[in-house]
Amino acid sequence: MSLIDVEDLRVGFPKAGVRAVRGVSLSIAAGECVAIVGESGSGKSVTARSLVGLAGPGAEVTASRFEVNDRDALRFGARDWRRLRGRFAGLVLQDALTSLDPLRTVGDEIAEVLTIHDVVPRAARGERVIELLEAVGVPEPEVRARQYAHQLSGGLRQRALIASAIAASPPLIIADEPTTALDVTVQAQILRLLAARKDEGTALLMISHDLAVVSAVADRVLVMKDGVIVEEGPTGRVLSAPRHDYTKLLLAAVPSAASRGTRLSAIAAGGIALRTPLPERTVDRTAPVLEVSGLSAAYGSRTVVDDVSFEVHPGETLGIVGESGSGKTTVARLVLGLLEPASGEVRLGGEPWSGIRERRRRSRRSRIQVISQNPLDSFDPRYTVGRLVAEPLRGSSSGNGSSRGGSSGDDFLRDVSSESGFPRSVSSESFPRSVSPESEVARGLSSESGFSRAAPFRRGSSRGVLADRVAELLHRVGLPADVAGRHPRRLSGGQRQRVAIARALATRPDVLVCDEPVSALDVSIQAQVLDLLAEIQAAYGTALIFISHDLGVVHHVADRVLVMRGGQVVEEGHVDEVFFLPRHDYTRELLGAVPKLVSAEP
Amino acid sequence: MLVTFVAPVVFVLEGAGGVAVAVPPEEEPMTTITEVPGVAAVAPAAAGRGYGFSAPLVAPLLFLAVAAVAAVAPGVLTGVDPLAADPLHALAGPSAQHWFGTDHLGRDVLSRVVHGAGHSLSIGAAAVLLAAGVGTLLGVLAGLSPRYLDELLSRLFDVVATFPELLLALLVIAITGPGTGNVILAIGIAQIPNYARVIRAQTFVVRRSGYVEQAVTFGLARPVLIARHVLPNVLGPLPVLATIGMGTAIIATSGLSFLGMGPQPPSPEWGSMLSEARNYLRVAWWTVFFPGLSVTLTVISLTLVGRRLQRRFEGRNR
Repeated sequence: MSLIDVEDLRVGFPKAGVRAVRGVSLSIAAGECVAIVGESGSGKSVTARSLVGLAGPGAEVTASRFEVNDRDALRFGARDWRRLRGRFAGLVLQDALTSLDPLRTVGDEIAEVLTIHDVVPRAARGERVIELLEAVGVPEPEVRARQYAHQLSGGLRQRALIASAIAASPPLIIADEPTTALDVTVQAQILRLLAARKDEGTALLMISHDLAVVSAVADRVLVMKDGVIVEEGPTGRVLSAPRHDYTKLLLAAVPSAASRGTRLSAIAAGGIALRTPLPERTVDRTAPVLEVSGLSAAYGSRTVVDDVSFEVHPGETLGIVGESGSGKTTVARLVLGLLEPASGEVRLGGEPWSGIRERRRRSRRSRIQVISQNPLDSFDPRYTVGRLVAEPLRGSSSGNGSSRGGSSGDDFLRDVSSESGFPRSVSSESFPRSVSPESEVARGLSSESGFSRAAPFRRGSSRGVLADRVAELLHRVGLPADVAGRHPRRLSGGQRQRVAIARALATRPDVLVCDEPVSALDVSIQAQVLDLLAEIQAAYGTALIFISHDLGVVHHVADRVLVMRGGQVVEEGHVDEVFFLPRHDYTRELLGAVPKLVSAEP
Repeated sequence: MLVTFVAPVVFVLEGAGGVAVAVPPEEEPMTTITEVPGVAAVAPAAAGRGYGFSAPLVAPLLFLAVAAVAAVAPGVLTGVDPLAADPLHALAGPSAQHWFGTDHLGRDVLSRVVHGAGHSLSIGAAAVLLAAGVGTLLGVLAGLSPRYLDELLSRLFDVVATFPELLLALLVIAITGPGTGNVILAIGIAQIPNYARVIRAQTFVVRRSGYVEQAVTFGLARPVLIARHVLPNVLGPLPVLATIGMGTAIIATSGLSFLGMGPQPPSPEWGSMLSEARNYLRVAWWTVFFPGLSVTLTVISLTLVGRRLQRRFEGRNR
């Protein structure tokens, strides 16, 4: 008997002209765990929501068969759906904070489900709420039930949401990205919790972009792309022997220890996804470009970074991993000179970088640049892409464009290893160099007559050069030149991150701090951005500080890694050493919590 | 904003503390639960409302356009001299010759109302300009200053804002004496905190934004950074504030003129017209009605337009 049996489900939003789901067939048997995997825009969430009548306003849902709980759901009215939700299917969403009413306690929230569906007599409700919280592993349920969502941690909140979803003991739980916003150790707990519900006979429909998360729980996987299911089968088979090219590419795009040194955006050739090797990159061990020793920082009385030391050499990638609140981002801010350390020192290029006046730092700032998780936040909302990328080139002394350095066009690909010395001429650093007419980009540009209009720059004399340089940078990160006139809000997430990278590269920094640069991106876009960073690093010998909570990503990109917890470095070393032979308990715990992609099933 | 029109004319200033534009929240709007917990309500469709001119806005905009023409070129709307007295036809009711009737000296009320627009609107506009200019400056200064200076300025705004606008304006006039320039100064000073407070809050938001931090990493000098990234992004709510503030300023102008503090007779100004005509209200309602109506409609129009701007502004920042 199937709980849900849908054939040829189609969901469209005629007003927006979007056909989100285009013919999906799906059935979920009692006690079974089915997962839908896909990237953003694949229609996976809309599919899941349609199953409980929440496709959204203006949605047009059709199907050749649509049976929910053995009833024809095509003829359901709002009231029928309402009766179904909670009682038949509980919904768990990604962000528990926005799914829980901020003005009601967690206990009230759960009790409401009991009230609506009249599950237990009024007098027993309070008791039942405590039982439910206990069942989902919330410690001190009596205390927690009286708290509000914002007073709980992310993991507890998600547990509370699950408790409300299972309150009326529905035979089906629909979980839409239930662990995406959580730290890896918390994610592992939530996955265990969901698996436990499954063992008790509850069917589970999991929606996720993360194949590894799914492989931990799901019996069957459906891979969705552009509103259709491209592949479906038992989890083990799909992950170990994918049949569709898209699934193969998706699997190849997942960064891990095995993918080191190869491109993640694989080419599907002859039925197999091929990973091509990345260009060789050399690490210059003569002198570190960045030295950090005994660094500490505090916000008020709370110490957030405690005695952190490390070195980064030109061309090297240092990974920093840790869960939220571990102080990773504060380290980034210290290294960038945005925050003064309480004690300890940062040296850039052999010279003091912390504890000096901003005035002295300013001219050297172009040597260390940053890419953040959400590029849109780091873009002035009024700026077009062209202006954004040109900004670091204009610097604060845009008054004298004539003092431009006289180096020739190949400077962009110059030999970096000869450059470890400091200081280098600042005036030639802050200004765009001329682009040689032979260069590929310059040729491409001559046909783009509209470009200079698209990016208005003040200074007449340097306008053309600046525009050329912007086009060159955009080309380098794989964006068409006409993007320069567009507003970043109209670009996709991956394109925005490319713009951020182009801007960070503009001054050809020695050190690039990447703070969760791919955390907000789909796996295939993440693959492209990681590949791009690797290529740039190989070409320019840039040192990368790569901050991420994703151990797979760090294992893919980093040479050495720091594991941070509570502001302290608990373990550091070569990435293989740390990840394959962890010495510290916390590192072991982190690694153990990472869902493994390859299923052990035959 | 409510303007009651009773005899003798009384202006009620509602919420003299001014209009606050909510600082746009940085986060995405929350999805709230409406039904079963654990079942998120689907966010309402992002309808295209709030853009373009909807029907209710046509009338106010039309009225403001006419008022603007009257202020800039009154000759276009009326050929009659607003100062030409004709005692033989004093207090004559509305007729084909005098659409709005005549006042106690036989002057054409229509002409005076039209010419009065220039006084009322320009005083209001000048006061708003003064308040917005100084307020923005102080607001940005407070927003960027070290804590103690910010604290000092903020308390200063608080003190000024404590007084009802009209009372403070009267206080200033009591010191400076009546006159057009002094009315502008008085109303301007009284309105400064409205702008300064909003701009200060906005400055805080912008100052801590990702893009300002990013600009620091480019090595921009502080003044360049402020001019290039902070100031332009701080000014967003200003048009909204100014439009709504203009309405308040016009009420205050008329109020002060009514009390004889503004432009002196015989120059036509809506407030002083009301003041002169109030004695004849019983026999010649039109002498009071039309100037009063002008003030009322101008303020209502400005408020409607301002509210719409505000909604658009807040919507844009979502």
